[in-house]
Amino acid sequence: MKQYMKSLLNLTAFELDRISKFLYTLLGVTLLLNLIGYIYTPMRYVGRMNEYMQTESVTAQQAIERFGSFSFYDVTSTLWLLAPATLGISGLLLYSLFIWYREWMGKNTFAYRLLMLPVPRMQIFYSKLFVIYIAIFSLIAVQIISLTIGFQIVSAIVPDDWLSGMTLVQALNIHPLFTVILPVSSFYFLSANGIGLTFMLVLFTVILLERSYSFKGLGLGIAYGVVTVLIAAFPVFLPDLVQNYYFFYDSEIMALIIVLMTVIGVTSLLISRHLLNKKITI
Amino acid sequence: MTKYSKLISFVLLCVLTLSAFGIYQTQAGTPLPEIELVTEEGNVDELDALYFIGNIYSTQSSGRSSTFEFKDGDFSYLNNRSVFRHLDFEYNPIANRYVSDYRSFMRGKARNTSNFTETDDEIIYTAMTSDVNWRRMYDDNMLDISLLDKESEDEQSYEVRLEGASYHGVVASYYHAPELTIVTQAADEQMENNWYIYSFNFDEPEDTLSPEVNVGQALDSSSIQISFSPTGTERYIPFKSLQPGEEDEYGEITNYTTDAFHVYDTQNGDFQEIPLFEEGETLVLSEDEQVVVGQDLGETINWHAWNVTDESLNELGSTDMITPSIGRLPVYYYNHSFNQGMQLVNGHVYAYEDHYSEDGYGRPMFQIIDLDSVSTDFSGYFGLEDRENDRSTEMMLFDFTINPL
Repeated sequence: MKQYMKSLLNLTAFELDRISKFLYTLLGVTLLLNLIGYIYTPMRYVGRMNEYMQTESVTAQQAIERFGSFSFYDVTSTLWLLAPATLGISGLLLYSLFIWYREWMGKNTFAYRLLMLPVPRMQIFYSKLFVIYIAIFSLIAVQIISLTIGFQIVSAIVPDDWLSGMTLVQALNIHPLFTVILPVSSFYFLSANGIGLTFMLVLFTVILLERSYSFKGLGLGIAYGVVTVLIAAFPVFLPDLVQNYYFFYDSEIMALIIVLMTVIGVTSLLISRHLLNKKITI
Repeated sequence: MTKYSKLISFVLLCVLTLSAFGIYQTQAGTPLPEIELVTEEGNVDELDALYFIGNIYSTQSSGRSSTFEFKDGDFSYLNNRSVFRHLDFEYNPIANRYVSDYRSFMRGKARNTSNFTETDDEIIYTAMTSDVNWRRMYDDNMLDISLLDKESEDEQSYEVRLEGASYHGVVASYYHAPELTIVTQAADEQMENNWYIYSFNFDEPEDTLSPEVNVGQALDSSSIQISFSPTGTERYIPFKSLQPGEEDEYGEITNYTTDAFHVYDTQNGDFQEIPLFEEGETLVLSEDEQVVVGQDLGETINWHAWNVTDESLNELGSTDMITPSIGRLPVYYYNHSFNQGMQLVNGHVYAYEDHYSEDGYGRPMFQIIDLDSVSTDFSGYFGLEDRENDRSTEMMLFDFTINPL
């Protein structure tokens, strides 16, 4: 067991090394663009308020009635914060493909050496999955740190009387993206991560099918992906099938989705293990 | 150790940041405002039958909103429910109680208040098939009827075709064992909206029902409203017919006045007209065998019992109302029911108003009048305990119900 864990840690550390430059870039871009948003957005508001008060000779209260008070939500809903967040999501999604295909790139395929290592082959699978998740959670952690600091910056730039009084947590709670990707609401966060984990397991299985059976495997993989989506979404269409929208309680639909996603995840792991151990070609 | 340093650093970053954020969220969470029930007159126990779902929200921040319920004379916030309980929660006090107490019976049934009638021993469900399968909205006139014996949990179900009109919607149903009276709104042969009354007998169930009454024809009115029924057990159903005013500049009629009140006797199948008072507005409420008529003079209401035998009014007395408008919520011509703010239950009138006081804050108010003595048993309002220091929080009620059982 100790040996098993050690080799898994070695592989994970190795994969983390390989992703680190890409991850540092994503983290850097996130911090940089966020910082611009924390400074530029409130300053633009303050500038607009001051200009309006000067040109129209009105009080700050009248200017607030015209432009509204400023909240941290006004910053979080700008592209300065949304763009890096979506860049991080899409970047890691692409890296989830790259993390496998990079092994077969070039003439001296690294996959040969990797698969010949004297460790269970599923450790390769797990290490790649762990690294993707470490990257996801690192982005989340850095985003949280960035938002916490950003909230202080915004509060320092905008005069207190012009602020709406919305707290950081309140601003995140009503945000359509951050309320899902950050641990603001445990339900949304766990749902997003549950769906994400199942998606990663299916994606890895599709990649391994393609690597195992080439073009035929690609067709099989796509078919597998479509079938898993249909199975996971099946409970949502149950009321239509029974022609009664109140036949199933929403909690039952949710429980069924969780069960089916777990089945999909476990099935994907079993298929991947079979492919890695028996079918994959170097 | 060096080769793991990056791995350990990233894992530590994630664990520490997420933990710290969790602690920060807990500490930064604004405590939910304390709600209080202020009694101005009478005994607070009178509100034990009241069940409502309300919302507290900040006028300054759209992110601050909490739902609470008032049940069995006590408040509780609904924020701490589990996800699964939250998913099954209905923002309709009656349906919510049924889902909680009769989960199996409620499976596959629509959740509108108008779909249910309840007695001490039974719950009766009446809904169109299209109410649970919206794709069949335009192709059926099938009515689903179910009767649940509360004690044994035995359920009788019937599927009945309604004739005489199309595209029915159940407005209300009234139960006097074994008769079920169903009021629907539907399109007549000219595709005009009209009201119909059907009768179903549980002892002699039929597959097809023909209308007992075309309400529009019987009352000679094209604009009708029905009294909101908190119990569905009344014998006499109050209807109000409206008189259209003049067309506005766009050719639309938006100004309607009360033309007449009638009560429909579910046992004899005929209408009686209730005379309108010359001074003030007329209010008509009913419960079981009783019809109560009020002369609304604003500050006071003079109560009368309607004698159905000789069609006359017997004066009961008058009650001073705590506001000139409590219970008399505005009813517009496009509403299909009235009396939503004034309900007669167990011989008591429950008058409600989401009153905006002089200080500008919402204060859901109730006044309960005992019709035997025509005195106020209770009056009071719901407010925030810390109103002095919390001027940006408002309170509103989604819906309320008086449990008569």
